[in-house]
Amino acid sequence: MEEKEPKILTFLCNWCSYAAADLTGTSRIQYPPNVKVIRVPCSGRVNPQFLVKAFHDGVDGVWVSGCHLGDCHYTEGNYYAQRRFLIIKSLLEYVGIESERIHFSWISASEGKRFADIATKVTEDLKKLDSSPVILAKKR
Amino acid sequence: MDKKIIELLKEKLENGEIEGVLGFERKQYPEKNGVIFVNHSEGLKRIADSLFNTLNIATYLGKLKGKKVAVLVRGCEERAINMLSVENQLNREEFFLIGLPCQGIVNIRKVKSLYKGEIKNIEEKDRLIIVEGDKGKIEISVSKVLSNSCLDCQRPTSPTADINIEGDTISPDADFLKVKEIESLSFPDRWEMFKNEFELCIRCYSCREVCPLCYCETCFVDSSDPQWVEPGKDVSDIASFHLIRMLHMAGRCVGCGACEIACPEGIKLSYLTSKIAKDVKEAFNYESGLTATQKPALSEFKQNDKGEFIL
Repeated sequence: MEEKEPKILTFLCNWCSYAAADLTGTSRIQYPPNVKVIRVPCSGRVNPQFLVKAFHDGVDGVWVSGCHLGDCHYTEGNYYAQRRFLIIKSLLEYVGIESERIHFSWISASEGKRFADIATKVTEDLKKLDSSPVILAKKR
Repeated sequence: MDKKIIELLKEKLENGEIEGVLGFERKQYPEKNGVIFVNHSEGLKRIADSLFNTLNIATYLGKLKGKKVAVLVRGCEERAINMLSVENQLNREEFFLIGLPCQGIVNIRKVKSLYKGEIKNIEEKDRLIIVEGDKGKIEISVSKVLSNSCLDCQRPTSPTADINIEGDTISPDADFLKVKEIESLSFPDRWEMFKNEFELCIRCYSCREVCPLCYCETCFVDSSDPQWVEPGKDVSDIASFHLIRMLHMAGRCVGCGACEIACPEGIKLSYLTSKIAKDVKEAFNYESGLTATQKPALSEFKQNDKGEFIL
């Protein structure tokens, strides 16, 4: 059977990780096309509800990336985000969503290579899982 | 109820220090015990202590804004009042809080599973519940029918009540045994278990209605733009509702267990509430509602927060 390509919903913060994705492109570094990017003003803008909704609507994995701690454009947005991410990751794993489906990272605007590496890692992790749909996904 | 407290309340009512007393009234069927507001000293005798006072009294305080009221509270209720006060829903200073020694609350569902017949009468005596009905009379030890959240209770006494009544309380073991048991399962087994729970849900939102901290004017589940959760009985929608509600509860839930007992289908919501209480405690060393000034766990941060899970 043909290998199913996982869909990864990716939230990138405007100031660091999104710029890193830009740099990856302009540096002509290859990364998997599975990551589908949504640009957000800050990783603190990512409401944990978004992740539940994303799984419900049928993505295979989620990845949220922001600035390194201390580098946030809004000074402390990613500190708040970190606390929320810990809770949502733990809660989703608790009801049975595999840990390979939920990823968080800090990538600065100069880390184009790192962006590609993590994008590859996230995609590889997901491909390791069997292709069964996410438990929260609504059957349509 | 304690005689000294009745005397004290009588005095306060008569000299106008307080406008009324909020407490629980015992009904013929104790599972129907409800909250009453008493504003004259004669009525004080209707207020009763019971193991079946399963609602959280903090839910009712919003309607008494601006009145000086004495409230009889257990540990979880007092914590809920503190939490509401932090979130500017109430003013803690308006209330005169009397802390009751909490013996835990009884889940009537557990009583019914032990007594198969029709229950006609329930008596409480010390640590026993005497159930009478068409299948005769049996005695059940309270520890067998205690609500799940009480098993995980961290603090049965009120942290900041104005007076605390001395007395026996349940001894909290606070080990989150059930949560740890679920955490040791494999991912598919966990979902199998939660799926069976969620599939029972009829989406009556009783859990939300009885929750002291679910006070939003428009709940996310009623919002149609954006539509977070679709209507219907699909388990993915039901699971989304409960998970998102738990996210909103993280760092705020006081673990009173009102939601689980109010659930007409007996969904084990305590498995979720205990999980977030455990996470918040382990990761941020935080317990909700201990004072009327401490911010919710997710509204603050520390520079050295746990972040090993981040790549």
